[in-house]
Amino acid sequence: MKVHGGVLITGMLFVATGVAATRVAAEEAPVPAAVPLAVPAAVPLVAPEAVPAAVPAVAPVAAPDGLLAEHGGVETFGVFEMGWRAFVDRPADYTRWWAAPGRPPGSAPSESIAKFDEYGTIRPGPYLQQLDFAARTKDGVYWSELRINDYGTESFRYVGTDNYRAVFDMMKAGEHYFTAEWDQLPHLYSTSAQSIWNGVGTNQLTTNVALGNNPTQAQVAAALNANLRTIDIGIDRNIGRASYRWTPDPNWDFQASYSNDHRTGTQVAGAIVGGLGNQQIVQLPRPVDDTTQNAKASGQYFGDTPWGHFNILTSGGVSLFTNEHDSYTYENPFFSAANPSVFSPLGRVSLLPDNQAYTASMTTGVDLPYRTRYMGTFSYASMRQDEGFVPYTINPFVVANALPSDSADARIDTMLINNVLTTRVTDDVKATFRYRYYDNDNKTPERLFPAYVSEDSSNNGIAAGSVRRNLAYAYTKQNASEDVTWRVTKTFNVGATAAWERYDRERREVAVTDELSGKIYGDWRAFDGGMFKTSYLYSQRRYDGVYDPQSLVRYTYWSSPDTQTVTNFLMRKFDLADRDRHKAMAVFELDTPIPGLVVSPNAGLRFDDYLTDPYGAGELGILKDNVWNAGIEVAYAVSPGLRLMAAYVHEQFDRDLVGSSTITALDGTTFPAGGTSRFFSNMREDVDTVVVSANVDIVPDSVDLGLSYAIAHGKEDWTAEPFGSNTPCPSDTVCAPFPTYRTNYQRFEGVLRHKLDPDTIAKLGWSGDVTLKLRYLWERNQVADWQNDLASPYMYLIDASVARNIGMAAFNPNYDAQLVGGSVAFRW
Amino acid sequence: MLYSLGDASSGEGAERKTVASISKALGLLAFSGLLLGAIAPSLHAEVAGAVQAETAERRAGGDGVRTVAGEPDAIAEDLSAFVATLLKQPSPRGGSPHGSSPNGGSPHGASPHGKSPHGKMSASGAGHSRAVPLHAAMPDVSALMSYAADVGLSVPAPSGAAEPGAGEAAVDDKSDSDTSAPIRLAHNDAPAVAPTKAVVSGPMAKMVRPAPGDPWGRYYVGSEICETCHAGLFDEFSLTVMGRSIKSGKVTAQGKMECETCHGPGSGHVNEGGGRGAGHIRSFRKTDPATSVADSNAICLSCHEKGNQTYWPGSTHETRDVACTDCHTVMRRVTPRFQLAKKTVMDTCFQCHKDRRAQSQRTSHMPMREGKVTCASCHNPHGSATEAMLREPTVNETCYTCHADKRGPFLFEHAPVRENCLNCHDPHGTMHPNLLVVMRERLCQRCHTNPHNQPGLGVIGIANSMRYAVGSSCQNCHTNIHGSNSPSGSRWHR
Repeated sequence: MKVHGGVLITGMLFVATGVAATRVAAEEAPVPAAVPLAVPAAVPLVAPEAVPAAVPAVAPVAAPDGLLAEHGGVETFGVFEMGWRAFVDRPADYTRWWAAPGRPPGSAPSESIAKFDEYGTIRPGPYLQQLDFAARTKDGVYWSELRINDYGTESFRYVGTDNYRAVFDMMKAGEHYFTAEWDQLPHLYSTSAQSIWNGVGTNQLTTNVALGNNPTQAQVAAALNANLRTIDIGIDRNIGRASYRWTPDPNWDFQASYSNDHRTGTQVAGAIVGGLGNQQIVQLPRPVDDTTQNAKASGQYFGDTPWGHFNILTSGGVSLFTNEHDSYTYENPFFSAANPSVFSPLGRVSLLPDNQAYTASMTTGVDLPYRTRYMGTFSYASMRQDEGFVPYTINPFVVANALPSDSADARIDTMLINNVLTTRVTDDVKATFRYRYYDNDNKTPERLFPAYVSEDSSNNGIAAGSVRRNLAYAYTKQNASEDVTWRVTKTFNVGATAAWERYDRERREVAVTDELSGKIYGDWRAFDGGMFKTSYLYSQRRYDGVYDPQSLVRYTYWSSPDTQTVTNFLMRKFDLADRDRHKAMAVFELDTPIPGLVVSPNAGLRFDDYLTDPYGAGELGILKDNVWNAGIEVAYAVSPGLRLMAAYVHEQFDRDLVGSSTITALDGTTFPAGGTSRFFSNMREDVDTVVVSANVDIVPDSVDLGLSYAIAHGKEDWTAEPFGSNTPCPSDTVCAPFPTYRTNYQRFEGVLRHKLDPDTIAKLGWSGDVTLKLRYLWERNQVADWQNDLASPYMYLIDASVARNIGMAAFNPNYDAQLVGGSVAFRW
Repeated sequence: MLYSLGDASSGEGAERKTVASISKALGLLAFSGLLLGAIAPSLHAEVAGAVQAETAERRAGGDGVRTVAGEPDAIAEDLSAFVATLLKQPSPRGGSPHGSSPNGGSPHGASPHGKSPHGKMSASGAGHSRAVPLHAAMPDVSALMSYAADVGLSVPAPSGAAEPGAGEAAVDDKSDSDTSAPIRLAHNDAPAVAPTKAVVSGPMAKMVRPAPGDPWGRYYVGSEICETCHAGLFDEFSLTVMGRSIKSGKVTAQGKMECETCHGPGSGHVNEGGGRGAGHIRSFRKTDPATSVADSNAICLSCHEKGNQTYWPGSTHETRDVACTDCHTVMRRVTPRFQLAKKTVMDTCFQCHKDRRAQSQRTSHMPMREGKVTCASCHNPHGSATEAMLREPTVNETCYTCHADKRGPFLFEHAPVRENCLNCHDPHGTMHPNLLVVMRERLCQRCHTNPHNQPGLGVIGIANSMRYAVGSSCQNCHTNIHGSNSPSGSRWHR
């Protein structure tokens, strides 16, 4: 009964204030100060002598007699900040980057607001920065709190008009905890996508563009000019979550949670339709309309052993994914009535199917004798998918075979067994042994699918695709390691780890890989400031036996392996190939002799050397994949009122690849000896990141200024070079380096805060703090991305031989934005 | 002389004590005013000198009388808080610290630190407050005087100082009066520094429970006396989950929580007059040489070695000597949840993972800067059943939490996708769209050769030089690369 009374007290507070505030926030309207504060003075919930009756700080609560007194009354506190903002420079919603007639490739860049608004629409005008309203009984037993936009950042950059989050917590101390949350998470990809499609957002896309199977460039241009429309591409998530925790006594802990995540919108997707080798490619607004529901419940018991404590936690969960569409269809702009079986009138692409996952797990930790502790987990999950198959093809002019079943009846069961045993051998030496077994058991039936229909097309009107079988890819993974840590001194640890990892796969070119690794590390921490952490790891991964490329395809093309071609047999896939790895890191934190000045150099690397041999064995694939970074951070508290920070990190990614455009017949006998038509490519990416910030107390306890600046500049180059005697790179004209890919993100933000004089505020009747803030933001994103910049509805401008290729030119991440604003924050 | 924190005494003795207490209080007020006025500008330097000297002595292995360590600012803050408390409230217990409100005073009044936005709370709470006479403040007066003398200030001698051992005579071996549960005892681990004999220069604090085996002979004094000097901390602490549990009297599996549950027996600290590290009080500060990270963590783990923290021993962070207090602050409400030391999860993690901070600034990023996704959305920093401390058994199952559409299983699986999303994506941020580790088509060419002639982009206008490489590159056609459920989807075209 006490619980219910307390819940009633706090709940009533928020019925009045939380809901009102949420509604106001959602409507983007300025929140009148009276809303959260509109409280008749007749119901003071705090000491009347401390809070003038004219400005009560809490909402009216008609609590039952006795409840408030029983808990000492209720007091509230919180933060409310709202403001107004305006763009000095607002990127246009719709601008063009892409190539178009009269706007050839290489034209001056334009900009779009899409990337700026990627995770929330920033609109000029009033906005709600934050609302935090809490109420509690004075004895500390009951507490409830409503938080809107509690992102922990003071920036007004990320508070949009469609990305609100509201969290409501309610608890009885140490016993009941309830949280409800509503979260909007938009992801805007484009505001300038060029669409020829009708029915955007649905799973039936039609178009007025009808070009036939052999259009001229002029016909394409005319059709596009007449039918292109600009649309937004993006996904809106609306997520509701609720969780409850109950600790009836100190030994038991029960938890339950539920979430509902609904997504709607569109994504850009490519599709190939008709042509059969003379591809006709279109980009489409793929519909997104699905819901994910996750529910989980757990119970834990915590008790004592003769040597310490133990706990055992069991949990179970259900996850349901429901897609409103199992596929989407679209009209083919290149449909040919004269040859409809090849140049299909329609295309269909399946969408991600409904699926379910059921999980159960048990975790325990037990203190044992000899200062030993065991921790273990057993987890089991079953992922299932039984969505009904869509037909082989939507082309009515193609006769398809019968399906072998109505659905995939797909099922993957996973099992995790994890064991950790850690023991303190001596006061200063600790040993930890780990063994982990993970089984990904694919129980999906492997079925033969006779004569699938490729590209919704057929030369003779009868499905002629090869017979294929779906493969139930599965694997197990085992890890074992022994770790020893020696506390040399109270502040200096060193340690070493020896580890083994094994993958055992089915339906892959390699059955078993084993990786052995050794690691050493050291950690030092100074009492008077400063620390140093470093580690180095070396590992060798080797596959057991032979790399058998046919192991996969002989099952896929079960009935006709000799007539198929697949990835070159000499390819050594990077996740299977033999590999040596070096991995190291070091982080220093040095307190300098200059008071308040801390310097933190840091560095890390991961060098992967693949033993793939492109020379003697003619193998293909990644040769190296190296990453390293180095940086330094300097923090300087010049004085209590002046704090500076600057950080710089340089990262480099360096990869070598030997590739080929050749493929291989499955029987292996037709493979050209030594491999042919190979090329070499180095992919190097350098990224420089600088983050600088300053906080200045201009007038102590009254005026302060916060400044921050960040820049992330990236540059990536791919070479394309001949390799060997038979190469697809005979000349620079067809094998030139790729254009440099560049990204440059910069952001500067300043906040000038003025905390009003408390006495003045008190005279105005407010009992808390009032802070005025002036804000300024400048942000720039520049991307030179040949891959997206060249994507255009008018693809023939990019490649004269490609008339049957219509892109959407969706992605333009370039923008310059300046935003100013002011806000007032009330804190009580 | 016994200074009781319990109910008011009665009778003549009590009256005499009250008179004496009032006199001492007046003296204290005068002293406090003088103290603040005289030493405030120079306190920093003076205390710093004292601290440095004592710290040097301690490091040299000296048998120091006091183990003051830490920042002089904090000492001055504590001192100021104490004085301000006395100046503002006639009684430190049983009433409002900011007035005489029976409800405990205004939540908006100036805190002893002068900056608390949330007001002052009574440690006892209205539901079980006890009337405490004015002289209850006297132990702290003496302690403060003692401390002031220690740092070289001229102070009046405390009157009525207890004889050595008086505290022992006052042992109250009962359980906490507010609950039948025993007070949870802090670990009495082997001392991190050589035990020293506590020097008692003033009255002894009342014992509420002994601390058997304490190497310094200390005992438990209860939380209420702590609030006398640390009132500001109590204010903030009450806004935290742990603070609320303590304030409400919640009994844990280890008993009723008190300040000393974590900080160890406080008698030495009180009797020596307070100050950072005095009386071997456990501080949890990184700069405290009296304890190691492992020792400090052990205190937290005595209650929190369950749930999300079950796997802490042997975890990467534990092995690498990360302290609980590197990421969490117990006494202050910096974040609404989890009592983080920094304002956001990201800022907390970026203290060490500076390369991840750099990655977060990339153009292709998850909504981490926007506060929608945090490191803890995927990772359990306290350790888990996976190598990278993931919340779920694998990388993929972690990703499926939000991307259940990719979960399948599909009719036609793409093996590297099923095995590890990280084969193609880096969730921490990349330069490339869709968080790809490298742009297509090189992404795909790490495993595949193909007949589409893509060694280089070539020259614009040259046939076949870029036909399939722009846009989504390979995915222009292989659109369902995460898996397909279409009977015609074996090449992920459908």
